[in-house]
Amino acid sequence: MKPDFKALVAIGWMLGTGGLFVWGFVVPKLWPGHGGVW
Amino acid sequence: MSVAVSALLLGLCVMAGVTGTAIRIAERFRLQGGLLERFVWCASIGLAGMAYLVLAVGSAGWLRKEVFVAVLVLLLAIGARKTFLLARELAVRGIRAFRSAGWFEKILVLPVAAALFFSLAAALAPAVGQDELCYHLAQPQNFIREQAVYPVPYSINVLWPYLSHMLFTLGLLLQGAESAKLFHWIFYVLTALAVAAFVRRQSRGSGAWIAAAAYLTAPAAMTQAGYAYIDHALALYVFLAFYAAFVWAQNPSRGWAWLAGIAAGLAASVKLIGLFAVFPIAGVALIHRPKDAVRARAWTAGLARIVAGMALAGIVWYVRSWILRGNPVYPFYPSFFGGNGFEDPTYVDSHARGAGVGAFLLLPWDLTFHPDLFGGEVMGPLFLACVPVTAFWARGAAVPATLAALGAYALVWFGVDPNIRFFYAGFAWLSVLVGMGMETGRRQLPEAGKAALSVLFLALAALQAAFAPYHYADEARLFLGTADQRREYLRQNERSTPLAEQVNRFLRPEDRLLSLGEARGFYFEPHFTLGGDFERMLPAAAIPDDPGALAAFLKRAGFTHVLLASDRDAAAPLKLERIIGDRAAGRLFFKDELVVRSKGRSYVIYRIL
Repeated sequence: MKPDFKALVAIGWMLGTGGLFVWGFVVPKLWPGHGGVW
Repeated sequence: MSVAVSALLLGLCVMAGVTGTAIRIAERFRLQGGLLERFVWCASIGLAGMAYLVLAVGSAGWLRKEVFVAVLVLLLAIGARKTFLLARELAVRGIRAFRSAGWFEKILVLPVAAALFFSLAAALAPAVGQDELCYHLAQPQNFIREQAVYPVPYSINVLWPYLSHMLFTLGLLLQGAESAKLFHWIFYVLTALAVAAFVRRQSRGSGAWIAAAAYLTAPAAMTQAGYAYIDHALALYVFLAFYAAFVWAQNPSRGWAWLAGIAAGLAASVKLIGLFAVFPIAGVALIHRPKDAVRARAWTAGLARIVAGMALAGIVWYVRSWILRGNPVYPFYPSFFGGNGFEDPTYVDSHARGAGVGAFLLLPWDLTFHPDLFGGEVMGPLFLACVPVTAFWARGAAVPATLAALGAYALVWFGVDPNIRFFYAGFAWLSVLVGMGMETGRRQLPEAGKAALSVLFLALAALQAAFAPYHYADEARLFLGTADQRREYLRQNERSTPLAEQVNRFLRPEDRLLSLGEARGFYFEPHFTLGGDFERMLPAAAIPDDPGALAAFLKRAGFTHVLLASDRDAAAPLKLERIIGDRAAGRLFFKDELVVRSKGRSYVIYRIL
């Protein structure tokens, strides 16, 4: 089966943005000293 | 009856009266549209009509409870039945649509319900926001005290466009701060419904509800809806101006051109930057500029109607300011209109990352991950996460128009004052794109891709909605709380409350207080003037250096007391603060009568001898 390029990009981007937001923004707010990527 | 329930009842009565009356007027003009579209437009225009009625009655000096009770009864008699029929039909169709919806739409209701409930609970809680206590509610309080909408002396902002504030005045007059705040929450919901109605015009699938959910769960939008601020009203009318301009550009009709102008005029009636509504309209109009001469004539006539509608619906605030302060946008652009007493620079540069092309291009990233650069409220990850979804699958004539409007508005917003609160219209356009992209994407992808996209969207919406209980857990517990619980909430959450209790106890209602270092004056019974406004509206030389002469000067200006807070701007103290704060020099003319401590601050209230 041929992978759907658009679907892969859309889903990967969503996962990446959500993950970055949780690790980089939410985690440091809730647990100071943890998380944050920049 | 609990405070929250009485505020809700008043909000319902006002909405039923103004929406139904607007429906009757729309029927006279034979304006047609879908159910949701009709509800959104009639409610939005109806609320604005009510606000203008408060302005007219208030300007005539008849700002009395009995007048507006009579007005409300009359409006309910005219419109309640129409609103009821429309709302019933909407509810029946909504329930039917929910029953036949798939798992994705059914689960999506949960984060939306959480956002709506917690923000509503916050709206119905006592007022504790900085700007609402400083002026959004404090000025309506002044109007009610004097039973008139009037140019409050020594107030920089009282002659700004105050459309929302007229509704706050109505809420305060008939119930209290809770119903005033409720109006802002209503604008939040109406903006989401306007987004849904616009997307529904483009497609009949679930895109409308996805778009509305994207707007409702954006953390900044949701948390802000709990305050008596004006930013959702601004977003609503800016978006409606675009909405009508797009429909007009697609299929030129006089009615939609007038509506585009009226909505733009109402945006300019909410806040000075509502004038920016012309840019999205211009973007849409330029995209749809006809090539042939006959249609170009109709296009030009339509533009003239838009301009006329905008002037009709919005010019009164600017003329008022021009007459009373010599500047239609007082105190801004003094170099253009003259300072008219205002000598300070009137603009603070708020470009934390700079104002260059690089900073503009970084907006999607910065708005998502660095909210501190834009005033601190969080946009959330959903819009950035859905960029590929939008790019791949959002299609149709509405997409370039939406992008043009978003780009035009973003440019002027970024150039003038990039505070995220003034960008909610941008959220509305982003929500349109997300809704349209998600609908088509879910339709076109195979089952596995569709499921993955849906689950991720739900997870992001839930993550955003989680900001609601994070911010408003206390307010949710207070939802049906007793009067004692509400007083305790205020004592815990609002630093000006202990001060206001003492001021209201020891000062007479007719006393006038000049406040240095504390802007939160809503809970004070005596009239409250901000020292910063007072000093900046006078030429520097007008304020005497000698404490005795200053005391006499303040008395002549009508003040009986001065409030001096410990937590002042030490870097740039006001001249008044320097003189009155100097105990040795000032004690002969300013007698300290009351000292209050609250939340790490101390306040001294001086009586002017």
